[in-house]
Amino acid sequence: MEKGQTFVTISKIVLWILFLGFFLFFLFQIDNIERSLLMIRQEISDLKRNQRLMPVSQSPSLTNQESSRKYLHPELPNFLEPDPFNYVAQEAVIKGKLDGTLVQRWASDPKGFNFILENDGSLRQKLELFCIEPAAYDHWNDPEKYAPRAAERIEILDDYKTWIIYFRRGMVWHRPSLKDWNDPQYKWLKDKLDQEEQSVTAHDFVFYLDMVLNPQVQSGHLKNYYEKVKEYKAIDDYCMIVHWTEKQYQSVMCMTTMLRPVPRFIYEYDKEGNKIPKENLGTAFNNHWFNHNVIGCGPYQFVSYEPGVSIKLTRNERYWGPKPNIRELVYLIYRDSKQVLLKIKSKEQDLVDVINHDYVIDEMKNPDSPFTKGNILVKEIPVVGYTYIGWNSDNPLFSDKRVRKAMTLALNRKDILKNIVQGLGILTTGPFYPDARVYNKEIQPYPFDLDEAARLLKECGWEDNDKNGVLEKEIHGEKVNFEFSFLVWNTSEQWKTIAQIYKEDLYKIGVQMNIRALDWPVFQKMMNNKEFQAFSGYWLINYDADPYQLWHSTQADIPLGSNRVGFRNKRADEIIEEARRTFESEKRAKLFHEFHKIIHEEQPYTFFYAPTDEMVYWDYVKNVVLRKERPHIFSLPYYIDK
Amino acid sequence: MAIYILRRILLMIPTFIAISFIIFLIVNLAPGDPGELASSQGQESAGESGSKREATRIFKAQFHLNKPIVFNLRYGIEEKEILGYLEKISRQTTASTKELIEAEEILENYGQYALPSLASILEKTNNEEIRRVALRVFKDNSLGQQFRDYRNIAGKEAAELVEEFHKKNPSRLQDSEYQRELLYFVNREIGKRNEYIRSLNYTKEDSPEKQKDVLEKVLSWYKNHSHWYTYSFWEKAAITFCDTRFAHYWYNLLHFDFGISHVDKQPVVTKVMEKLRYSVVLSLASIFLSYLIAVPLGIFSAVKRNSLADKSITVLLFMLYSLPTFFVGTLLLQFFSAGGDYWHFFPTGGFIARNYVDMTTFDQLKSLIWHIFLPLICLTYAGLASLSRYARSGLLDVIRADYIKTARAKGLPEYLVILRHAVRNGMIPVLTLLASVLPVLIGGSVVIEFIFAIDGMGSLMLLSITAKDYNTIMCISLISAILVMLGILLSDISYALVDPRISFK
Repeated sequence: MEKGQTFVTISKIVLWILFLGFFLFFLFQIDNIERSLLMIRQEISDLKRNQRLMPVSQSPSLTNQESSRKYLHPELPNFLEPDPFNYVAQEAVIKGKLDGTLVQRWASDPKGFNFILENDGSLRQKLELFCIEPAAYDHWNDPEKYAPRAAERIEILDDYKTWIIYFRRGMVWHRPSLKDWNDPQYKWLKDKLDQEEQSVTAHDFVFYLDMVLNPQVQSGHLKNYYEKVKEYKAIDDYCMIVHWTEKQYQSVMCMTTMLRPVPRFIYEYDKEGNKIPKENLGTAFNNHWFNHNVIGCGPYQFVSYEPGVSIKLTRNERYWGPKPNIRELVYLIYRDSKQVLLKIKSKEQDLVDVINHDYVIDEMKNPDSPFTKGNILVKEIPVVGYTYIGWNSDNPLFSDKRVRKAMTLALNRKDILKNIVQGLGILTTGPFYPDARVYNKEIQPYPFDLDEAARLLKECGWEDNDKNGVLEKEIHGEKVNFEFSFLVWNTSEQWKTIAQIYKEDLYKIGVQMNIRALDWPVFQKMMNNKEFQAFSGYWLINYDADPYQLWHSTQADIPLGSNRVGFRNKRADEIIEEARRTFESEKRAKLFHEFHKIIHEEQPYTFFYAPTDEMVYWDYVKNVVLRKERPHIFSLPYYIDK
Repeated sequence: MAIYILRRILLMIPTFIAISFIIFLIVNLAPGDPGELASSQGQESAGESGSKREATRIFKAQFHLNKPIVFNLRYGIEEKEILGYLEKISRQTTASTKELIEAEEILENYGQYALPSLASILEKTNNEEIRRVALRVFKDNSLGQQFRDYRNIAGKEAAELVEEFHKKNPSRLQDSEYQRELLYFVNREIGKRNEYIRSLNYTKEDSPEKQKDVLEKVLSWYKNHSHWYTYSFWEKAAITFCDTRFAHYWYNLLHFDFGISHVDKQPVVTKVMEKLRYSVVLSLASIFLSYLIAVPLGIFSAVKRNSLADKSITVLLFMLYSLPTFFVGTLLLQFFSAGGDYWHFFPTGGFIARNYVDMTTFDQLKSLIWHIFLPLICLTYAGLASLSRYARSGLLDVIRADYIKTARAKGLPEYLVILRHAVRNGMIPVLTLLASVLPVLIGGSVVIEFIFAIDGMGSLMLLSITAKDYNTIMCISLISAILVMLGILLSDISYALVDPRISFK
């Protein structure tokens, strides 16, 4: 009996062990099968890709076509010049390091990938430039010259009013990489792509203008650039003509970097493959089914987007131009900026475009840190933009330019820049970038001079008669104290500190400043409603910025205009209008130097500094060079040497 | 029992409506405007503002943001009010910038309800400036809204077009094709009309004859179509309740449509489902883990009550309870993650390895556990204290009961007494707590998700609130509301199931 029982127990245990063993073996086998299936999948996709790798631009028939191409005005010079900058790193070619993955960060999920609808700086700087080929692009080291990209040649007629753009032949659209690509509902698109490759033609660029100018399309940020376009059409499949109603400097940007193709063969169709009627296109475009995908024709091809996780791009091996050195670009999506440091130190990320300066300082104190050992490099990036304090000229306190000048004199800009901003910036005196040609370098910044400031205030009639420490003046028969509130954005610690210092300095000359830290939406609303006396701000600009939006007097009087401070100056208006019609860079520089001088005298803003960001990257990312114009970090010439 | 459950479920419907109404009011009345949120805070790009009006108008119309929230009494707008706004915009009366912006916005939101007044002002006024502004506003407001969806075709003018379409195509087309053709037809006609209205334009420089001509054309257009903009009593009654944000929302809700997010134009449900998997995995794992740890601890404390072990466990758990998760999370990352300064055991964040698609299931599981280990600790430790207290007190309640004494008296070993007799009965309150956990499952944790870069429900909710993404906020709140109600029902039922003393007869 007892023996039987032990036997049963033992056999039970043995059975269990056997069963578990089989189960584990089974799991192991399944794992193996899965692994080989994955390998097969990988091989098939590689095969497929190689099949599609037949370079089109090198086939003989096409090169013949190129040479026999007829231009409408062959006597005119080509507006575009090739960029002397070498995008292909020679060392990378010699070392054979044309591979690798560069992992960077994307701070938050993109709202969508349709660049006509989204006014999103990071989208434009990162994804669009890699995937979608602009007609032309500014030179790496000279933002005033344009190199051919999708366009080969631009002819300009009628005093800059007519632009004829010849596009490159043989460019094809990438294959879309939809998540549910195998879903039968996309059969129509698959069939279409299988039948023949969709080439990028002038019609795609016409379609871009169609969409931008369509009143139903939510393209507010682009529309006002193209307001003055009279008519446009495709002359043939690779040539487009655009007429402008008037000569306008903006048209250079509009016809080069901003002009991009939109895949007509996708956007003209609804999800089931039915053609959308013309009248419906505008509304349909805003909510198009493809808006969460990218299809381009540029050096990189969009591979995948996983919300909250990553965006992946891979090199377009059939790109017409110099192919990028890095094969794969990955953007990790995470919002917490504290993760940046962990991610770079763990090599989960190779390059960080903006890092908090305090992190760098902390890491430099740690002797074991890769920062101090020199494995992680830090590089300063000058940002084309400036910070400033805006004075409301429509407010009786600041309507006198001498008062505004006194305010500038009372701000200890040099010391603040050195101690609070930690030297990460360049002092500016005007509305342009200090390195730009249009910036008047002869103008010296006002020094920090409290005595002079006090004298100027006294000159304007501000005096402290009741000896309470605050100046008064009679305005419209009423005694007014010199007291105002200064708006700062509440998450900018730097501005809050600066405001404190400023407050103390102002108090010394009898001016009472109250600091109001506000949420950005509230802040913006107060600026729009002009319910402010002074505020801190930060403009991102271009090398050759058109000052119309910020400084023309008409912009001071329209609701929601950007000339919030109410700057009105007749001569300045004249210059702005003339500069809009002037294309020669020498003349423009001369005009803007004068404009800069006016601004300096009027002091509508107290210009502060052009900030410098810091980027950090591992030393195996080589050839990290910076572009002059935004985006400064543009990884085409970089390569990975691991 | 069945009747009781049925009654409870039926009662849920009015509760749900009331909840949805309250949330809707709170969400919509909160200050701020969904359309005008800048993407990058604190810095602005020159050259990007400007004529956005038309696009903003379309945006607002698409999400019914130009409609009043609960009651629509706009058919009764007085001419005097409109004239007041026009005077402000045309600078006939002094107005601050704020008032100007407001006036423009109000007129824009009034839409076609302002047309009768505008037409009569156009007819009567002698003031050139006012007429110019009135004409612009009239033209903008009379532009017909094109429809995105067959189901949302509404309005008097659209009804006419639908009729026309039916006359042309007497039921030749079927279902989806019919819907599409109808939608396209209506939109095409509206598009044509809009084109015509847009073409009626004059500038200051044009001759008075031309100006007059344009004005006459506009007015005659209005006269031909004025029946669209005047309403009978019943129509007014319908407008009062139905042409509002709330009514439009509920109309879609009844079609099981939570709408699309106005941040990225994705259907809200898809978005929620995408994030849900992260949160559900995390919460399920953490609930499982905390029960696994807390219940035995509670039992141990109850058995050895008031001993040193019990006291130290209690103190320890309460210490854990009082540590804030953001602090512990950051510490854990700093000490145990790959980018930290000490032991590089775990990844710095995320839910699963980036290239999980190319992994086998087993590897995926490994990677998942490896990734969520630290966040799981953070999610779990704080809940241990309360759960173990429940388990302890639950067991203490029964341990003094007579049947436990009986069990001891019949000579059962102590561990069998506790496990077989005491625990089974003592754990009833702890088990019923499970039902209340239901809404927690989808809630996610904002802090943990943020620190560990997991893109779950918590961060979705937070982002939606900051972006004023009404539809997403509503969707998440309504789903949690349903889950809370279900959870309460479930816990009531489970009481009855495990405890025969409670019945709902």
